Amino acid sequence: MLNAPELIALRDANPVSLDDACRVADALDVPSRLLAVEARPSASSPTAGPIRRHVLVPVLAAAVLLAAVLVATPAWALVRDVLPFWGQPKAPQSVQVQFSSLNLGAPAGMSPRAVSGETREVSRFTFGGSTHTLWVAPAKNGGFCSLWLPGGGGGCSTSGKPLSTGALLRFGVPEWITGDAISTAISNVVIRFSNGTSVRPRIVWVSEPIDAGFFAYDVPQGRRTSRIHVTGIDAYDQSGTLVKYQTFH
Amino acid sequence: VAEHVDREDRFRRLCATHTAAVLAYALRRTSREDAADAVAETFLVAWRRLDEVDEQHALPWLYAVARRVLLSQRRSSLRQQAIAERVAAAEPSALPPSSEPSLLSRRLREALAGLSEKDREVLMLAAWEELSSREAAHVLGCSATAYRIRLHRARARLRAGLGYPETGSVRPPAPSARTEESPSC
Repeated sequence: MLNAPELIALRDANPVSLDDACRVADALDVPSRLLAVEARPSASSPTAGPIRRHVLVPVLAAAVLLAAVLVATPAWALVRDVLPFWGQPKAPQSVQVQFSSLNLGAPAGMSPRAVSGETREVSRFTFGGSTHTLWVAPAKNGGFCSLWLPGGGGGCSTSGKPLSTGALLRFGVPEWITGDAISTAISNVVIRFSNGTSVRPRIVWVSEPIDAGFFAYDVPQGRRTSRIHVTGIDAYDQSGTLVKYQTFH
Repeated sequence: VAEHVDREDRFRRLCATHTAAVLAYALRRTSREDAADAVAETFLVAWRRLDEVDEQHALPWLYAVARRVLLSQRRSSLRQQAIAERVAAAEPSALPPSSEPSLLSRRLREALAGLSEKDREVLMLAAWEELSSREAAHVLGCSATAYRIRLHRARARLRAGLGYPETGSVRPPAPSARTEESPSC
């Protein structure tokens, strides 16, 4: 059928050959993105061995108890250490002022309305050669604002975006990465490298009213090269489904 | 552990064998950035459903997934679409610059533009992905007979669009009893 003139004309006008696709795949680093999926939880679970009858009853009882707990607890809180926001140290005046400034200059109706007086110290991370304190404040418009001080950036997440990231890029290569993930949507974050490897950064989960996790990753020196560097971040929900990703090109 | 290693090996083989073809499929239908996203999404589905993938006939299966991913992308918000177009406009494709379009390619482009999306897809699967009727039907989720009928009609419309003379030699495939039961393409 392919010898029909209209199909020959169409075949000859094929805009993308396999060679073209290979070049684009290299340019966009597609292979390492694909192989990074192996860092994700497998869909198939290991085959369970036979269950002995005498352990079945206690197991069933435990399952009933667990089900009761599951009903009463948000699912994400079960598998994480969640930092109680209100129990964290309050921010000094100098930090509160910086949060107040986040509300300034926004177009009408676009201010995050950060509650600067309720800013809390959440954690400390070392990246970029120094230790940064993560300060977080709830926002009246929903969500929260966060700042990595000194000098690590930050912003407000009031739109319910499941994943927000920031990075210091030198010659296009990330040297450190910070980010936040909404607890209800995201369970796990994976940072991908150009050589197909990946790492899971430590995430500090914070309770309501923030309901989000925060991470910072100081990229090792050996992984800041043109050959090996961070190419992206993937965020997964509890079932291992990719919810959001961010690429660095 | 052995099962997991085997799974990884199968997935790596799948990627090594078919990435370029799936990416080419996506690049023929959307912008570079969206194509790369669609391929990543397609292989993520493949990783999750690896047990369903028959390695001998993986490509039509991957095309079918990629097609659904692209359709889903297209259904996303107009805002995202506008951003993708701006990116594509700002960042020229990595593809080699094409030579001055010939009269034929201009006519072909116009003729293709005059077809429905379904007709275009049927023709592209035949001419660009070079799939057999059975494989293309798998991609579109219809029977091979339904695909052949669709292709026959799409070819006739393309011929008309190109201004080619009608040919009496091309006959539509004989409809079988099963055609009525088969989902249309």
